[in-house]
Amino acid sequence: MSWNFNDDRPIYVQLMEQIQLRILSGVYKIGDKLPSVRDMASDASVNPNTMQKALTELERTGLVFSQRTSGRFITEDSNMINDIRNNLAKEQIEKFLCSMQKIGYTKQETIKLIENISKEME
Amino acid sequence: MNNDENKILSDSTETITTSSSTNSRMDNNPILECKNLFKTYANSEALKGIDLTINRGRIVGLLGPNGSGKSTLIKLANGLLTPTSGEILIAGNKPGIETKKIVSYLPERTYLNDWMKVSDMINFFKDFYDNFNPDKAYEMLQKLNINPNDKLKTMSKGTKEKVQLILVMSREADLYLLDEPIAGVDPAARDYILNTIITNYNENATIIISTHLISDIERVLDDVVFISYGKIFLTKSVDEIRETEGKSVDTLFREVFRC
Amino acid sequence: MLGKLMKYEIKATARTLIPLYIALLAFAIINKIFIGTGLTDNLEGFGSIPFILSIFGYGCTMAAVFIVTFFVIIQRFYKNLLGDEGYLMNTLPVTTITNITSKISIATFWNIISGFIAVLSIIIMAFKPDSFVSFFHELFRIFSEGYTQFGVQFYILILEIIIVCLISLVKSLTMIYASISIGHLFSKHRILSSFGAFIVLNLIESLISSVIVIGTSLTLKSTFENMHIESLWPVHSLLIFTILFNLVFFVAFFIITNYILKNKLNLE
Repeated sequence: MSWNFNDDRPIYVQLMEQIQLRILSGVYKIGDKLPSVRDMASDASVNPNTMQKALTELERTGLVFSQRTSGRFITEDSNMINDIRNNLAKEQIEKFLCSMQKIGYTKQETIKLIENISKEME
Repeated sequence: MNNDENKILSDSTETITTSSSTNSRMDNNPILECKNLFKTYANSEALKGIDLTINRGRIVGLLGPNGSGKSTLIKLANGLLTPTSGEILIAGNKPGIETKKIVSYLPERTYLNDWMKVSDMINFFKDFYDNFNPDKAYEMLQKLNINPNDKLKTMSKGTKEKVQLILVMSREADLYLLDEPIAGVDPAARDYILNTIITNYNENATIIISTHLISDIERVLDDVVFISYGKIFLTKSVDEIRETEGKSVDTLFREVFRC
Repeated sequence: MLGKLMKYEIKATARTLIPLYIALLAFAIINKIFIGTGLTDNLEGFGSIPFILSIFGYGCTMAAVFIVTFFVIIQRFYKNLLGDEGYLMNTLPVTTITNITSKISIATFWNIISGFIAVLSIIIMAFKPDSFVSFFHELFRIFSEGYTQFGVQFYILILEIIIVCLISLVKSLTMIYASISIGHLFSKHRILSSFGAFIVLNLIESLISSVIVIGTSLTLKSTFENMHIESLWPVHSLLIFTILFNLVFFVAFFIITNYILKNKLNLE
């Protein structure tokens, strides 16, 4: 998975989102130890201070926690992760339904369309 | 320049401070201070009353169009130029032997002695700088497949520039001054240079990068200083600019310095 | 730090000069072989061409030694301190005084060595065991006579002469450095300005020394006329005066060079 940033928002915010994504998708597994700040910063080609800020903010949300000497770890709380996953999914779906509405589909039409296309994809 | 600049024009004595979430610092005094700094050449005023404070542990971009005074400011910081009036202090000291020990400078030009081999240059640095780390240098050279026994004479310009960067970054300095490190360099080399800067970062040292190629380095910067016609135009953190302006530093720069 | 600078200074310059020295001595030896074995007496016409070439080679190399020594001295200062390498040299944690001193000391060193090698090459070519021995006999005789007549002062005199040569060499070097530094102050035509500065500094020095010499000889005319021949004091005072004179100029040129390097440096 590569790191993608756009111009209009602070990078640390975008880093938070992308780390979160990596946790949700399993790139970083539950309970895993995260690489060092420096390594992560180097991987993402960002300033270590920025990466540090992102991780600190994630610590605040509880998704990540740090142990004094051993480093940072991903939470073991799978419920929290599921909640986040569900919330993200909900966001995506709401956005999607709005977009479809803008094109002119009703909610029922949209759901039917999804079913049809899913069948085609199998 | 358009009216937008009035929105972001900050007080010219603004300090770039460390954010509270960064780790504790070993030293708290600013690494670089400029107080009403002027530098005049025979027929032009390069710097007109610069007031600037830069703290430790930051990666700072010194951004401005050509001729804005970036190189002059950097040369004043490393002692190659003397102020016409005003003061410039490195860790509280005037530029001199003590500051040169803790400042590592990468000029735009190659300053390597052509007749030497790479290993000779490493020994040279080791001889004159106590805080030079030869192992680090050899490691970086190896990663780039540069043979330390090669003569500098035989190397391409790009390779020489990389050698120079390696020498500069292998010093454990308090202040790194990089003057246009990525101009005239191919994209892959650019990535390498930025990656070297990131991985060599240490929280007690500051890196000042002067450049006019902003989009490439924006992600690496903590703070930016816009300089134009010898005056500081603004000093802000990258996050602040993105949050308050909703645009990247690169976009802001283009607006501010529109011809 | 000075020692380290001098070390690198020697490394940078030896690669150019030592081969020349070897070439010069080689030519000298070759010439010696030609002369010594009496070959030259019998060679005529085409046969003498190798010898002529060898002499020619020797002459060229001799000239080269001095020209190259001169150029190396100038180039080291100009290129290493005021060129691109200046970005490195002037940001080292050393004072400008140390940098200049390292250049002067090694430049002096090579000047002396070049002179020594030149003399050595001549000795090699002119070497005849008999004349060699008689030369030393003669030298020894002069020294003992000198000592008998003037005592220790004779040796002091020799010492003073050596010091005069040394100081005047160092002064000339500093004058060159000062000229190059003054040339650096200009943004255009730096080399031309350096030449100009050199001429001007030379003129100033000559002017001052002429004034002093004429002035002193006029005022001391009567003193000289009444001097005893046995006393070496006039020679002493002349030598000491020359030493001081050169010393003052050396210091002045050094100060000029240091000031410019420290405060008016403007690398491109």
